[in-house]
Amino acid sequence: MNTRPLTATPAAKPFITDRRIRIGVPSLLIGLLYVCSSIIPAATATAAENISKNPKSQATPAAPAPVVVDAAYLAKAAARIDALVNDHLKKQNLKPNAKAADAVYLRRVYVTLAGRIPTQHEALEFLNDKSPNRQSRLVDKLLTSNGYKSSMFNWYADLFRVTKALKGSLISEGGFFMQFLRDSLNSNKPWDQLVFEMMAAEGSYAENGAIGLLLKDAGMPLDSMTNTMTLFLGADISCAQCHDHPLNDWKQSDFYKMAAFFGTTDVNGIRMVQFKSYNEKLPQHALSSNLHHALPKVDKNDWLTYPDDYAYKDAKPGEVVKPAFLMWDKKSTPAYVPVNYKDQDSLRVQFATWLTHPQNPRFAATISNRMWKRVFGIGVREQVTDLDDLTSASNPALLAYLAEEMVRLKFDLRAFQGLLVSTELFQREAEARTDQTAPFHFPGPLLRRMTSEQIFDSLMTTYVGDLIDHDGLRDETARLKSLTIAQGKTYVVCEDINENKPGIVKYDKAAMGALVERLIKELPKDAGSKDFGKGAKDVSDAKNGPNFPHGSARASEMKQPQDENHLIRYLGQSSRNAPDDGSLEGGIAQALNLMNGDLMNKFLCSPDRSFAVKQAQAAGGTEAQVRSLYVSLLTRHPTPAQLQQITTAMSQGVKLSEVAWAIFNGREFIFLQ
Amino acid sequence: MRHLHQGLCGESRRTFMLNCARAAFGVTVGAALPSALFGETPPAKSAAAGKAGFGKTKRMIFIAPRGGMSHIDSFDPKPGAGKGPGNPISTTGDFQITSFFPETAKVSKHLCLIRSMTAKIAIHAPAAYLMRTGFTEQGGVKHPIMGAWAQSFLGPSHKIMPSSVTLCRRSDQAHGFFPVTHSPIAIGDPADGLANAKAIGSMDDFRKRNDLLNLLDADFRKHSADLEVKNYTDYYAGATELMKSTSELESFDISKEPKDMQDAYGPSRFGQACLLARRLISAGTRFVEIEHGEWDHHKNLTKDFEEQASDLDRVYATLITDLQQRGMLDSTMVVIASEFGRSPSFNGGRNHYPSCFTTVLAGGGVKGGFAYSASDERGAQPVNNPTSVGDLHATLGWAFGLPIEKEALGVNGRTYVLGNRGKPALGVFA
Repeated sequence: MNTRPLTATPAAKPFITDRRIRIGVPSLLIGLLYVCSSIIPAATATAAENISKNPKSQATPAAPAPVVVDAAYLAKAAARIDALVNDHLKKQNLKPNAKAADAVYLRRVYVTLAGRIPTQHEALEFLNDKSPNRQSRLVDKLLTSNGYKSSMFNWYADLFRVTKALKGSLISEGGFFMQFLRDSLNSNKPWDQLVFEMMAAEGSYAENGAIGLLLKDAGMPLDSMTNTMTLFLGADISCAQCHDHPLNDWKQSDFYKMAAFFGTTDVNGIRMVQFKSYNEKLPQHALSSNLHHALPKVDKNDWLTYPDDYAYKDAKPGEVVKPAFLMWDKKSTPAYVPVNYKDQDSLRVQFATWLTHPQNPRFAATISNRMWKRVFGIGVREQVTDLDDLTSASNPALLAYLAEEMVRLKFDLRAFQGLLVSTELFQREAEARTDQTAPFHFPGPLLRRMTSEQIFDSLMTTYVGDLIDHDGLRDETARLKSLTIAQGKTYVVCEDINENKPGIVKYDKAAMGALVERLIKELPKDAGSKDFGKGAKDVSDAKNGPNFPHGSARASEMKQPQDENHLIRYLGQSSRNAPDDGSLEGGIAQALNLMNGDLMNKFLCSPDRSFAVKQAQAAGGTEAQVRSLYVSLLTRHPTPAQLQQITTAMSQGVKLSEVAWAIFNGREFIFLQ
Repeated sequence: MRHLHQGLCGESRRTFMLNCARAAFGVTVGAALPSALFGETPPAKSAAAGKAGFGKTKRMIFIAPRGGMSHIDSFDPKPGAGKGPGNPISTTGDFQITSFFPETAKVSKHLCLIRSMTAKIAIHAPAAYLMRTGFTEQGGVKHPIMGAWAQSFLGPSHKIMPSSVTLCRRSDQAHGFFPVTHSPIAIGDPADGLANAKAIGSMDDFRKRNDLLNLLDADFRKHSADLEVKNYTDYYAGATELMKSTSELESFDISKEPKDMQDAYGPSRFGQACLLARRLISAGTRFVEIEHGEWDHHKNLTKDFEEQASDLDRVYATLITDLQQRGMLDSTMVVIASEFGRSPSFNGGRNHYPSCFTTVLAGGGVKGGFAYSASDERGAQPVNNPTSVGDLHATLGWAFGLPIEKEALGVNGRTYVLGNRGKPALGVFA
């Protein structure tokens, strides 16, 4: 039997959660200069203590065991999924769609797994391959490609609201969180471990980029809990936040009891501790800019209390909330262990352990459903943020099986997606949806528009050809490390915002006083004005990442999120204000950008810079040129009628680059069949 | 009626309306479309016609302070332990506001305050959704913004101009369950206006390649029953329509405004958005939605609130004055509608607080200089006329002259009532 090496797992970085690291690296931002200093505690002692306190680090070894999925096992599981889908279709008096053409499958599998259409070379390679296992070989190739990591980064970025900087900050501390996610993708970190690390995270960015998710809702435990529940447990309890939940028998107090696990986490708790004696001399805005990237901290005096307008009799306004896990159907599972609520220090670890437990009633089902949506366009159960009663899903048996499979695959998302694209369902013709509210029964995958990132990266593919996935994810470790200091040393990173010249100056602690004094003196006069620092400056904008010629890059390597006047935002890239907020919606402004925007301008005015157009031009006569362009852009050959239409148009003066324009702007290019 | 309502694109909807008009009134169809059919007049024969405020609003600018503006530090000042950093000041209206809003105080004779707004959702996204649409989001159904409701009942507001525009944010399916022709044009940066409206190369070249596009894509469109595929074809049609127009496109360009007007609105994003909004409603757009700033002041309220308020105050007062000087204020309603208020207790910041907050109306037939309702001494609960978000939407619909109790049919085949059957606060009207 063949085995598929779906997960070649390099050793993951040890996961450090020593909650004694409170101070770590307070980055002191003073106008256009910021100062970093650090005390790194002795690693060995803290690691030992960490294990004793952190049940997950006992359960999960630092390097996850590679999941090697046996091809026979995979085939069996895929067949089981198909049987469950087909049984359900039969009950609905529906028939599965016919098998899609090779070219349709090819485009779909590339967009799904690599986040972009295939190049002409890749397309022909597959279409001309007549070997029986060509599909599984292609899937293996794509799952281990840079394109897979890149497209998963985009998926994470949308889900976790990845931004290069936090609100009100002048530096790109978001880079630490991004690097954490990139590292996680490079090591194919299992979903349960990833989520655990983010939910239990403590320390500063410099020590632990995983704190990025919790910082998104700093100071708002109710918003934070709502997002946590919709993201990871598919439970929308926001309505229970203001009244008792009508369906699940949840009370408003249940919502507060869940939020209470986070009530003792004060992410604004530490500011400028290292520089306390200088604080009074620092301008106010420098302090407030620092609040957001201060260190999360447990404050024992800061329990969550019921709000002033709490209206139910089971608790009083102002009363301290005792944390408790949410139950579904009043059923307990091994995930439920008694909460030791007196141990405030470990409340979030207790929560994260329950959350990511394989027998948590919703955790595996939620991520399975989200992955299913990623592959087939729509969840088995919608909304993916609100699964509610699992048994009322249109196909509950399928959802239950997927959750079991997710657990068996140890939350390896790459292996799980490999399973989903191995089904017959994935190879069928797509099904259009005419009623957005009717249940979808999966006679085939959903016909839908590509995501903004998929469209953009597909356009880029035609622009740069086989260069598209040449590089892996950007690695900023070295740059970030320059901000994060060796033990006992203090560095100052100076960035002149006007001239954009980063530089690193090294200082010892004794010099700090004089330095801070000097920095204050040198602050520009408008440092306190509201326009100061408008738009975060990003040290990472330096050319240290994988960029293409002419200043373009894949969506995953661009600014997160892109500027709002960039094509990718018009296409629906999330502003990252809300989780899960990428949009597939069209609009007039978007159509104008697709027709007349910068990118099309490049294609039309400098056709020699476009790989696909250049390739077509070199192909020979008109027909050969058109065929080449069609394969590059639509992964198929033109019909005789289309050939005729183009030949006629070209004889009337339409250029080959304009033919490319016409194809880009067609629905067929942006909709995934 | 379902088949008539569903899937009519802008063009066929107009044709349909004109046919009805021809049948009903013997209207002759000529080059000049009768403005009576396009939103300038409320539908005739409504039981509500002639009642206070009904149909007085012809255009609306809906300002959404993002993050939840504190009512106590803005339009509902309170003394005592919960008092914020601002002091109460007198206004030209019959109420006080805080010292953060000195310019607004000068135009307060046009303002009507609902200080008894009350809701239950204290989480940003669902609260903002509720305030934007009048509905709670659930079951995957998207609900329309007021501009889409108005378009549904009154038809498009202009032959070429979009009936609705949304500024400083995405559309986010603002057409809701109505056809996509009810969707606003979404503009992120108002200074960009309608970017990319000019064809690359000559218009003639554009036409040729656009014709080719429609030919090549015909097969795919024919074989796909998907609603979004059809919607895209409508978007492209709308976009090419706009590309052909000239005076309409100019209305999207604030640099065409006289220098003194540009200076008056100022260089901030919100200033540019309000100036653009005024240009758009002057050119035929009915509804403009603008997102403003960042009001989520859990900490550092004193400094951060002032920064936001000074921008809102100055630009908002300029807008009101400008509309008044142009004689448009009586028929244009300007709304400031925060997703919720902030808690009465002040500790350097305030938390989210939906139980009591303030919505500000001006123009469009409301009673100026008037506080319609009040909150208690802490700003914690309404003391009279408690007004839900649905009630507010019913009020705005009433001002537009919409049949607010009538069921509207969504493209999903279900029926909905504006403001989720809220009751209009008729006391706000003059």
